[in-house]
Amino acid sequence: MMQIVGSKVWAGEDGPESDVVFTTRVRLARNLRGFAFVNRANAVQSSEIIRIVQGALAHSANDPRMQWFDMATLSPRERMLLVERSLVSHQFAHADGPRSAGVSTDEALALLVNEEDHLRIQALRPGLQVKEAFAAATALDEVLAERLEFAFHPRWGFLTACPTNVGTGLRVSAMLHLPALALERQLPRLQAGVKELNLIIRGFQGEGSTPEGGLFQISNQVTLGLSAAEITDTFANTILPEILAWERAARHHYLSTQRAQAVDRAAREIGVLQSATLMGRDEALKRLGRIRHAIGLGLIEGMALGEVNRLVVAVQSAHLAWARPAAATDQESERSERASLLRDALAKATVTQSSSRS
Amino acid sequence: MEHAIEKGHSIPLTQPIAALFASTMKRPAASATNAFCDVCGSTWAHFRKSGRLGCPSCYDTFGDALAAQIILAQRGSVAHGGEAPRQSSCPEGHQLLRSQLLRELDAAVGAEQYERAASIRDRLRTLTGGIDAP
Repeated sequence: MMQIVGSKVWAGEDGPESDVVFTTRVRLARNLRGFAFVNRANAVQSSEIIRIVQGALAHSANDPRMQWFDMATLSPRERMLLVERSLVSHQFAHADGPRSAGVSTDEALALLVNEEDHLRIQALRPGLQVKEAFAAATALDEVLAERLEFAFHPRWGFLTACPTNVGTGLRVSAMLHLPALALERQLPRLQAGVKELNLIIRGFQGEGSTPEGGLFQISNQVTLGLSAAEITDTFANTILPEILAWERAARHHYLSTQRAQAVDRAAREIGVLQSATLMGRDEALKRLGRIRHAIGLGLIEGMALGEVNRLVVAVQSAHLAWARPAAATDQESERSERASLLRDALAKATVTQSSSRS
Repeated sequence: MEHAIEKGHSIPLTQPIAALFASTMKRPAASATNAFCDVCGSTWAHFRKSGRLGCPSCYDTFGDALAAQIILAQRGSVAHGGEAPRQSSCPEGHQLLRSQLLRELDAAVGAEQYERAASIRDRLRTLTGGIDAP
């Protein structure tokens, strides 16, 4: 159904600051005036919302030509493919009621219809690209506003089903790889710091998930009172540079005080991934996180960061099954396929020659 | 919790939305407690339980009690400080939606889809009322 090479985000591209920032996402929540929110809408109304939104885009001169995926008609595996690529949430993939996801051909832009709000516009970019993602999401917002009337309140701004999104409807987030802050036991301080700055921090893949492989999603909590541009500027120019500098300082400290251990860990990770014959998803993500860390420290050659980004998606269950449709689908076969994929991907990875001198 | 963080396990760094509201909530005014939205039927109790409102009109129905919750959840912000949608100064979007609804109403009646026709009529009625009129 989808080609991973079509993905601008996951096709192994490196973005700016990609040693720390995995991906950047900007999301705008919008609702149509004259309709109940999704949680109170019946199936007839929800279907009408999908038709109206798709019709508005089709009639626009600036139609972004999205491919539409109707959740009700997708197989469970196809829905999981969208989840694993961070295009839709688990909740959206598995909820009841009519819902549809529009995805641009490069998969950098998605429009979810009937998630928690009627419309969730989201732009995804590799690395730190807040401005670019914001511009892409805003452009789609403007195309939609040409033909749709959004629920807007003079005091509360754009109205949303949950008041935590009201005002701008804007959530800007960055998926950060913070292995050194974890190793240096700085995460409690990070947690306190982000709370002070009115930010939300979560594990990989959003709400309720665990921080696999040292990946954390940080996003703005406050959506009301500031303009969308002010929220994105603060996030991109004040908050993220500070967290990036902190992680880099921790990496520097780790490398200068525990270089021999760091090299040993990198060599062991390469060894395991080059030789293991069975590998579970969580273990793969944890080990890929460590490989990513070692590449960022300059301890591994023969493998690019972008390749690790691609693998983080490719080792997940639905992607494995999709890539090798002929393979058996029991758990052991899946673990075997995953290990095989990783052995191939890591075949040329070695510990950097100069790094063995400590 | 710090122990869990260091081990890299699940981190309860944020509370669920409903818990956030429940824990910060002062008792709402009696009028809000008993209120329900006559557009969508949502109640204040439903909002307390789920953290979700039922429709745009709920923002006015639940008035001051809701405003207090929004201000708490938004860390003291009291009003929108960003852009208004383009169509607020240009009613074209409204009219487009209205004419589209009228066409759909005709089609639904023609096809004897009365449930759908009733739902479209409800929406046309809401549009003419205008919840976000100044």
